[in-house]
Amino acid sequence: MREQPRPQPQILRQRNIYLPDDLVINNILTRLPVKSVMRFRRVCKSWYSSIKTSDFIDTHLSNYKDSHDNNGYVIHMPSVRNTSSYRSPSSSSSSSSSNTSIPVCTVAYDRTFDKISDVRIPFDVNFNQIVGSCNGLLCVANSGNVIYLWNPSIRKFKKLPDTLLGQLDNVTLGFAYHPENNDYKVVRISSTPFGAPVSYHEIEVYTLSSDSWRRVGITLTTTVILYDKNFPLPIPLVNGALHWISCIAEGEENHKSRTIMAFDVNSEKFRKLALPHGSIDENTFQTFLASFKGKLAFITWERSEQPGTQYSIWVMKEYGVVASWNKLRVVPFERVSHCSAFTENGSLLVCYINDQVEEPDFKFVLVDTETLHEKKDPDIQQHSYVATFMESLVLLDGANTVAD
Amino acid sequence: MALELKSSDNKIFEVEELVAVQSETIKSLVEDGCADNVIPLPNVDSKTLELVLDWCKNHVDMKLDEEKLKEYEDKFIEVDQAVLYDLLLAANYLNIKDLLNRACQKVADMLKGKTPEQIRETLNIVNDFSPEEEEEIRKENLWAFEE
Repeated sequence: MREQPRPQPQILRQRNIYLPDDLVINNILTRLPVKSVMRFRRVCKSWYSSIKTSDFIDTHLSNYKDSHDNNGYVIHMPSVRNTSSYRSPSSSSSSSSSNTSIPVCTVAYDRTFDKISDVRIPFDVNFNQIVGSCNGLLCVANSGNVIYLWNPSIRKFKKLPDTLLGQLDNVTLGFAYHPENNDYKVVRISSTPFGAPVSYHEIEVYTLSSDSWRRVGITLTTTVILYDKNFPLPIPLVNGALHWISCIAEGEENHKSRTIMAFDVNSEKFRKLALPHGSIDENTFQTFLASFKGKLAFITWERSEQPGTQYSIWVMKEYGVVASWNKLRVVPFERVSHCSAFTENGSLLVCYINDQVEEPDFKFVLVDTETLHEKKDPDIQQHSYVATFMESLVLLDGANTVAD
Repeated sequence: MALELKSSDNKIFEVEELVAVQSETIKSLVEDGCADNVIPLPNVDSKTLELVLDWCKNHVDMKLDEEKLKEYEDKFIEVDQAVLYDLLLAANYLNIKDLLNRACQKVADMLKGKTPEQIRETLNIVNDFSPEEEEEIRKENLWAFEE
């Protein structure tokens, strides 16, 4: 078979064109996909050093966001390394099944979960969880409370220093971008095990700029009993705050109720936000918080009036205004299921057990919240953590990073 | 109000002020009261200036029709490389932001699949890395070269 001839590089023979250096670097290179930028680092020394600067990285990110308005991506990472006893049938034929020795994350389109590419996970894979995703930077934590910041697009990662907190029995984590300082923060809340006589919580915050943890004191009149981990969804960052569903005790009679505790990333203070009125009752099995098109979403999985279950999706149309909670959609779902993911554009990924076959296995369904269109068997074979994804150069200028 | 612009090859263009001030450079001159006489543009030849003014005029005319404007812009930027570079340099000199960004995006699209060697040739850049230094970067990025 004859090979296609490679197209000749376009060379200007008539005259020499010299484009101003700073124009090329700041207005042309910043518009290139990450792979091209990384490849072009070796063109010359001034390009190499310019590409690493935070100005370049910021401009590149902003250009990327401008040109990717409608296309969203997700990245998903298997939550366990080895297959559990329930295995999806398609995984046995797939080359990237969890039985191979190379642990990978998968990048896919957020509306269809159609796979785009696999990225090798460069650090130890041990019951990893995606804590959050901001500007192409992922925060990943493992069962040993080791945390990594990882940019899969440039194959660089950074291991966070050890915790300052005394004990880490019951931990929940949040990851946020801090725009006021153009910085990234990881929030760790460590709680006494559930059921302990007195509950207390310790909070520490890591900032990328300082590369260190710092304890944060909380002054609240309310007693927080529990911060819900929101498993398996990441703690959502909306309006500059990380949001946890919490169980609180208030008033003289220690009246217990559920509410949202919102941690403002800039002030590092908590505030309470009420959940939609009447959204939780004895028929509610599970609750989750998520970010939906930049707004705070509350998802419940509950018993429905018709036999079976349903997912209710509420959106807080105006941030902070409790009266603006709006029940956007009810997604009926016959079988016992678990919410695996809720993407930024409103795709609900549900996992259920298919017990209609001899060897029960689990299956996924992707439901578009707005159209209720269901996609059976999307390209995901195992329980995974799912987060938004975008390409960026964030962390390229980072100290103490490791290249994969 | 009309302004007169003179290209590098001494051709005079009469242009509506509203159209001409899409160029921040010309806008500053007008605001400083220096636009009464012919404005010389020694860095822009007549062929390029004509295209640039066409862009500016259409941006005034089609201001309210986003779809039509996009169609125009997409067609406008489909020019050969030499013209594209001239447009880019003119937009830079005249400080016409949207034209500059569009031209830069087009150049970026052209560059993205190239090898670093091809980039150097296209943009006339001298390789100031030693072979060892370059090899080190290349090794670091093996995954980015796999195309």
